[in-house]
Amino acid sequence: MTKRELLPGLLDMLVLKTLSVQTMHGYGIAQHLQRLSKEVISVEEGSLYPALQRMRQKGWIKAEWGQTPNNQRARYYTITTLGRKQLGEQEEGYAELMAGVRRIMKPA
Amino acid sequence: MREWIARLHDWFRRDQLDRELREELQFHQQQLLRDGASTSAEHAARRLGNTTLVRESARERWSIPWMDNLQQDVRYAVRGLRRNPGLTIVVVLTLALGLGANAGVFSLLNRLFLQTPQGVANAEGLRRIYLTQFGRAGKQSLSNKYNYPELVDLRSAIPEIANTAYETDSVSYEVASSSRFITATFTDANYWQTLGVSLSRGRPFAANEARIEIPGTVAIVSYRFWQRNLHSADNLAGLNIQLNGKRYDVIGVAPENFEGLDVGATEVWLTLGSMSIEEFEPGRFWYNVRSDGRLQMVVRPTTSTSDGALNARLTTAYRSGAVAGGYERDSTARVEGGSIIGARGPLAKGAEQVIATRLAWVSVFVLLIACANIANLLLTRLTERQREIAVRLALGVSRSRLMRQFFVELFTLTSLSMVAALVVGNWAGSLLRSSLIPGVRWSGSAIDLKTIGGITAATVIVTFLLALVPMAHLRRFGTTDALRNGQRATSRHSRLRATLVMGQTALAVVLLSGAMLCVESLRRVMSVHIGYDVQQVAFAIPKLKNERGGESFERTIELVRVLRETSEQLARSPNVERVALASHSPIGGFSMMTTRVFGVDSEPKLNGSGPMVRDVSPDYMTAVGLRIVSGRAFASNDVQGAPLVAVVNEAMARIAWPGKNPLGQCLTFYRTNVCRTVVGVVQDAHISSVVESATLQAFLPLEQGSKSGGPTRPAVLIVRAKSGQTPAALAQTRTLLEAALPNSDLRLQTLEQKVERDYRPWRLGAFLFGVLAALALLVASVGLYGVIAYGVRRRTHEIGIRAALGAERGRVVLMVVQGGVTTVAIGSVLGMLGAVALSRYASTLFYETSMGSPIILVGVVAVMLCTSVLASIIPAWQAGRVSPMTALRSE
Repeated sequence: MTKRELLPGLLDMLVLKTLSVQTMHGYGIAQHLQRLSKEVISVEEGSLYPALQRMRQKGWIKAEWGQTPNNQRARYYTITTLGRKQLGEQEEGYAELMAGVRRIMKPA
Repeated sequence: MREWIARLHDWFRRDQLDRELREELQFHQQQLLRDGASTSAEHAARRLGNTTLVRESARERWSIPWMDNLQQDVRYAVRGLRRNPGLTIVVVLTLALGLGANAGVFSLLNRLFLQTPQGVANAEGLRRIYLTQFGRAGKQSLSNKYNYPELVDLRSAIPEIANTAYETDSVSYEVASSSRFITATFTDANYWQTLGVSLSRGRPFAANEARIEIPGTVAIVSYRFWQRNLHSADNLAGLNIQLNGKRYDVIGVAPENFEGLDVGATEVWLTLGSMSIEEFEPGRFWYNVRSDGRLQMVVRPTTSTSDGALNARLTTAYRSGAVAGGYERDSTARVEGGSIIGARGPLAKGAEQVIATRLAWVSVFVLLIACANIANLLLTRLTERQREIAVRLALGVSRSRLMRQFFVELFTLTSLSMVAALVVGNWAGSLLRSSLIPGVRWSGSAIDLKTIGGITAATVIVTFLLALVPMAHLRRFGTTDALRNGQRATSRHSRLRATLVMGQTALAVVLLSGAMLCVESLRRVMSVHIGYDVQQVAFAIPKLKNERGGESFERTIELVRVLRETSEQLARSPNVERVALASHSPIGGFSMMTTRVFGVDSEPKLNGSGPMVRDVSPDYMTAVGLRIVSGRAFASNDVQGAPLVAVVNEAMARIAWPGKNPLGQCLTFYRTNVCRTVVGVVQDAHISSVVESATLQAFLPLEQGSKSGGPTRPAVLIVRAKSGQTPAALAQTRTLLEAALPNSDLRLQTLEQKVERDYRPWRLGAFLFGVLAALALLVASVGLYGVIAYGVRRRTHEIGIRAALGAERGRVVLMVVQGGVTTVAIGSVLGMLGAVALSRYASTLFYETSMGSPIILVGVVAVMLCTSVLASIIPAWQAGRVSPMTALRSE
């Protein structure tokens, strides 16, 4: 199974989408993305955590320390209103982009 | 923007964020291991190596490179400044004094010229009404005070426009047995509404109770007065205060932020009817008469009324009123609205305001000198760090980075100075306030937000100006030269420094000249002999009160009887040498009646004024200390029925009978043809103040003073105390007069006290200029010392060679001192030229002295010479001790 590199900006959207469903810690986000994408997308810590910090600084997500069900300390991320707005915009842009790509790749 | 705030916030807690991230990653790996995603050891190791990388790239998110650099630079700067405490202290102090002087002056100017009265709604929309009158020969006079009939005329022209009139005066506030003077504003019922001020409690004056004809019974007090003296009483009903011996019901309290329209804070507002109103004749009061303007008028034109239209309507009304009232001359007068800020209006500025404005320039001078000095010190420091800079440049530190570092260092210095300057400024501001405009209770502290803003702006400007020094230095910095030459600087460098010192010296000389002119003026003013023995002579003017609380001008039989009896009692006192009675005090009043030389149609004149006449008792001349130049003083037999006589002063004798003997000549008074023979000539003496031009004076005996040659009534008692007995004589006079006239206002003071006020502007000018000049000199000599000391160090090598070749120590010392003196001499010449040019604009500040006067020139040269020798003596001494061996090895 080859792992694919993500397009720049795509990771942000995927993380936001994930968080729009529920609050999660970093490891949870990575697992979630891997599982949903059927192992096609694997997010390394090297890209995930810097991305999370960047989004936090932009005010799209909030970070808070909490307890896991196993009573371990973990940092949980929550999407903010600004983040939801951003997600909406990115989804739109992504849809347009994909439509364009598809038209090129499969000419009628 | 939001992101940057977050980044900045993260930057400050970056250590915490680092720790949190490490924990987060640890957690991540534990989870991975537990879930068995990475089973092989190799995989785990790879991941572990990855962690550092992850942390590095996440860390980028909370590192802001320039913030890191800035932090480094600040640390570096603070370290550098701590290593060099001497330089740091000198720079900070110099700049703090320079900036502080400006802060103080700015705070004063701000209050005088920029601040509209507090608490007034839309103060820009108010107009103060000014009056320009044209006298004979087109002489203009400007005022903002009106008599009551004029005010009525002006008001009739603008029935639909809100307007108010007021007078500010001090009243004595009496509580229990003590009393103090407070500032009162007398005004009408429109005042509060026109200004848009609503009272914090109570009610304003009602229209019917505020009329000028009705003696006032009600008062509105300031918030502060209400808090302090009325203990913030909630219920005003039944509350009253005693002012000038009369009870007033307190009906209202002004809002906290409003304390009247003028610089001094008003503590109580009374109605126009509470003013002290003189009664000229029974039933004829001040407000019936077109004379003695006392009321200021303020209007708030409606938006539809242009300033031009307002002025035109007021002018027309004023002119027709004046002409109808018998003042044909005022048919050309002009009335116009001006700024509500008194100092900004067209009215001639008071001496204090002129001084304040001049001070602003002086303080800018001091700041410039301080800047030149600091630039100099910075250059010294840069030169000392030549090698350090060269090494760093060689190691690849960019010039812009170095520049930034210097800037941060400079900024640290200037910020420190600014903090110190605010302390200096607060002190200077309070000092200026109380010394320039005493007798005024200022509200608020000297340093307000506007002043802080102004000083911050000045600091930023100064920082950038000073930053030019290291910038210019770095731009042309040659690494190799610096590394090779070590501490030796280029000649360009020392030329710049010498120029700075010259500039500094020139500015200091300008200030020094100003200070010397002020001190010399003061000395001259103080040494003016006004013609009387001011310490020994006191005068007393008791005044009866009319039923309106005003002074009665009537010299009643009773008053005259008391004056005569008291003078006889005092004449027997062991403390008193001589007593006299007169119509006027020696410094103060006089009457002007048409006085002619018999047979000549025109009145004699000097400096545009005719003779000033006083009626005096026979002992007057001896009592005040007027010397008889020729003839005799009045005698006790110069009474009604005896031959009519007069005494004139020297100026009068000279002007009226040039080249002739004035004795036996004939003068006429009161437009009569009755001849009064001149029997004596007295020396010239001043008549109203210390600084005045010569006047013509004539004296008549009290017993012959009236038009018909009969007696006139005296108003003033003059006491000449025995030497050293002045206080006792004053006390005795007071006791006697107060006992005899219990219900009167008594004015009693020595002539010295009376003229004291006249010296004030001169004293103040000399004091302030002196302080600033001393400051400037100190700062300039520190700069000079720095340059010369540095020059000596730089030339250690050369001096060593000279010494080795057999130069005497004295010659070496002389050489160094000569260098210092030359620099200062050039600067001084430039400064003197500047001072000559500037002193023309400031001539009103000086009295009978100018830059041309030898004492000033010699004084300035002497001070500067001493300064330059003092500043160069220590380095010169060090140069003289240079031994050839150490010097040659010093490379």
